[in-house]
Amino acid sequence: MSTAVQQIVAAHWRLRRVLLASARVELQKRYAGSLLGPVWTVLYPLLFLSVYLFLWLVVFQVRFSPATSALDYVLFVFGGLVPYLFLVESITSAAVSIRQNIHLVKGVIMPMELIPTRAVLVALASHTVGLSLVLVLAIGNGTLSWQIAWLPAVLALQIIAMAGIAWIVAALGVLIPDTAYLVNLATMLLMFVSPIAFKPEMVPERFRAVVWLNPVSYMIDAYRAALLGTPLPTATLLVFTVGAVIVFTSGAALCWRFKNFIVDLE
Amino acid sequence: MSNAAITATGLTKVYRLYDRPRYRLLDMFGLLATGSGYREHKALDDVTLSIARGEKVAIIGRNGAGKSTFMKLVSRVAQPTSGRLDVTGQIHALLQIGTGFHPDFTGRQNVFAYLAQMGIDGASARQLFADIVEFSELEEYIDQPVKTYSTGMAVRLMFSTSTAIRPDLLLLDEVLGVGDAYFTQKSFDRISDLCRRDGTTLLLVTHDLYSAVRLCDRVIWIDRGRVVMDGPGAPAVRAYEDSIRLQEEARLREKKRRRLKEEGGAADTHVIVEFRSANAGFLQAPVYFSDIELRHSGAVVARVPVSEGSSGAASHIVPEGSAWGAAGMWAGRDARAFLNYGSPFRKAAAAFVPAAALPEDMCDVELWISAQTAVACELAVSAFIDGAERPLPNLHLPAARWHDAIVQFGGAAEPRRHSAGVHGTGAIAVDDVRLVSPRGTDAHVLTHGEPLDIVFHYRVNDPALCERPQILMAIHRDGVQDVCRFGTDELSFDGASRSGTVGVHFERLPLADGRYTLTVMVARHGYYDDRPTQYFSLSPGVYACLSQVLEFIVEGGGAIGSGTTVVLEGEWSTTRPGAPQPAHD
Repeated sequence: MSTAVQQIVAAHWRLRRVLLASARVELQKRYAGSLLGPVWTVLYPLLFLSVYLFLWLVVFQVRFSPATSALDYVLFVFGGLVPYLFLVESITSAAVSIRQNIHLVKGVIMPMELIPTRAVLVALASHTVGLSLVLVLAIGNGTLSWQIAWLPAVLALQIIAMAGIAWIVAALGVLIPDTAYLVNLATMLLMFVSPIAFKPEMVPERFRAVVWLNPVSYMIDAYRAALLGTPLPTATLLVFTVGAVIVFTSGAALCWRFKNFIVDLE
Repeated sequence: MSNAAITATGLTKVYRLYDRPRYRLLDMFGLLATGSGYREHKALDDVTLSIARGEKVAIIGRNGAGKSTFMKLVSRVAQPTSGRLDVTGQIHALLQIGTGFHPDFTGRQNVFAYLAQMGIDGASARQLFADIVEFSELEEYIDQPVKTYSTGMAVRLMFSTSTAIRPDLLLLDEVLGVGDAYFTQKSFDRISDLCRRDGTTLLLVTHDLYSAVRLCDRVIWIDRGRVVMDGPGAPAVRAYEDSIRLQEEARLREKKRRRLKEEGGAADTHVIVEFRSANAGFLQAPVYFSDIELRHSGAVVARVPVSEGSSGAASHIVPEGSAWGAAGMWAGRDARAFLNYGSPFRKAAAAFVPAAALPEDMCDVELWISAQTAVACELAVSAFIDGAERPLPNLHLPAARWHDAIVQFGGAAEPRRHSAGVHGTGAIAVDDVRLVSPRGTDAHVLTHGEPLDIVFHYRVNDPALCERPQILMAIHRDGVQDVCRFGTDELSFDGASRSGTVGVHFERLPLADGRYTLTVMVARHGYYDDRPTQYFSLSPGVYACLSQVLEFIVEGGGAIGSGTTVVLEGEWSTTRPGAPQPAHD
């Protein structure tokens, strides 16, 4: 298992320039032919989140308690929503990535194991925009704390976890084309059981276990601690770290073990 | 060996074709019982070869022959099932039409995106870009989206881009010949330059053999995963021309087999027996069959009614593709002739539907034949049992008497000879083509500028023939490049004259120094004027064609007659300016 991780990481390091260039090309392709072109890479997630911002800030004016502002609530939601959107985009595009980009493998541009990672890298672009917006809002709200120093570590952990899941769903996506639909449904379902718009304490005692059985909760908690300065229990961070490493390792192992099998199918 | 770019030893690739999609998943985790739920397809079967650096190799073969699988293994996209493959060199570029380029990107964006993905950016990318635009001649369109390009333009851009990066190994899959003739020639030159200057090894997969041999100095022919031919272009072209006939024959045979199955029911075993001249050329005389029987343990299980023309009967003669003549009396017996003209396949076939089941191993099964012919000959016999070929021992027929022969299914078969360049129905058979030197002797080394005679012997096999056929000769350089043709339709042939010789005389041989081959063809009158659409080796209008029957060398060209192909002679004259003009009044 450790050799699989070593081999995969080595392949990514060796082809890092190709991987980055290819992710950049993929981003350009997404908006190719449009008037604004690459501007959309920034504009789209910004507009998308602004709609939420407007709804909660102006229309619903939801707040946790009279002592907190509507922006506090929006920041709370964004702290969970932004990493969650990164997760959704990574996994859904990874699920179809090998099937849609097999020409990169056949064209000897990159080996198969780089393609799911490329999908994660592409999704990272929107995520960066989203995170920047949250940072700007947090500064404006005056709630940014020293805990922001955690952000690079939290982000790195999520990327590692996303890469692991991307390898698994991409491999499954080749074997079972139905994976793509299931992944779409699963991510939608996961959104409702993840503490994005609510705090875990708001869930009735009986169901609270469901929140903490959901691995996404730990990730969101870690993000909120970094972005919003909420307290971060060591246990949560530990679970997130161990989980990310396990997912990464097993994803790499699966991908490496069945690499040739999967290429033969396409 | 250090100079080898690609070395394959016992290279085998097996693909599993699953009966159901979910079996893929089961198999991935080893939960599928070995040998059930899937069929194994050997895409490559024990391929051993070595390709040196800088070699230009064409890989040809039919669809599904294993060409693309070989490319995938060489490019390291797929791993071999067994065997060894060593590929040296850094950059590989596999080019397939329609992949890698994004239709909404402009030509410029696509080129830079492709180069970036190849790890080239900055100044070196800009330098290559200039070269790519210049070579593809798409300056006007380079800032337009590629979706507005024609197919040819897109391929031009892709070809220019992937050859600009100077790979150690260039893999091209079905991209030649998409542009116009001008660009095709330009691409050939570019590849040749690349291989010569940078030592790039070229692997080209194509269906178009004729353009492949123009570019490549080696042809590897793959069929059903095996290398059937590996060598220079000329023999490959000859074998390819043969293979077209063999394929058509196999198609007709398969059609026949299916019809037999439909008529006779699935349980029956069908045997199709084919006779042809063992030397794969033209038969000297017709062979008359009075009896063709299939016996098992001495008892007749099926008999072909040779004298009646009923092809609807259970066992019958097969008219399709066969050179069967009419039934009639011959030398005191009811018989049917296997003619030495009339079918481009030059064979005669019979279908047996046995009354009783035959043993699986065909043990104790025999073919009983009574036949007579005017000139002693040897016939090759093959049997097709439910479509599977089983070569049988050859049949030796003596001259001018009825001969009973038994061909055993269990007997050792002689190796089959392929026709190796002999085509045509045999209505006019050509043999013994010779080049005659000024000294009257057979020559294989000729001298530029000396007289030359080409002579061949012919035999009119079709007694009803009476016409002025088209005779055509063609000379190819290095077996490939069509140098010149000459022919006539002025000479009369008829069935009564039987045989003779034809000659053509040249006062001064215009060919320059080099190695050439001669092809001789005799076709029906007006064959070329009708612009035949059928491939020549299948056409009943071709009486005889001996493809590249002779190889010869021309020497003594001197300064003018070497390094070129043909030296023309003409009347020279000169006029001086200022010289007195003819007076006008």
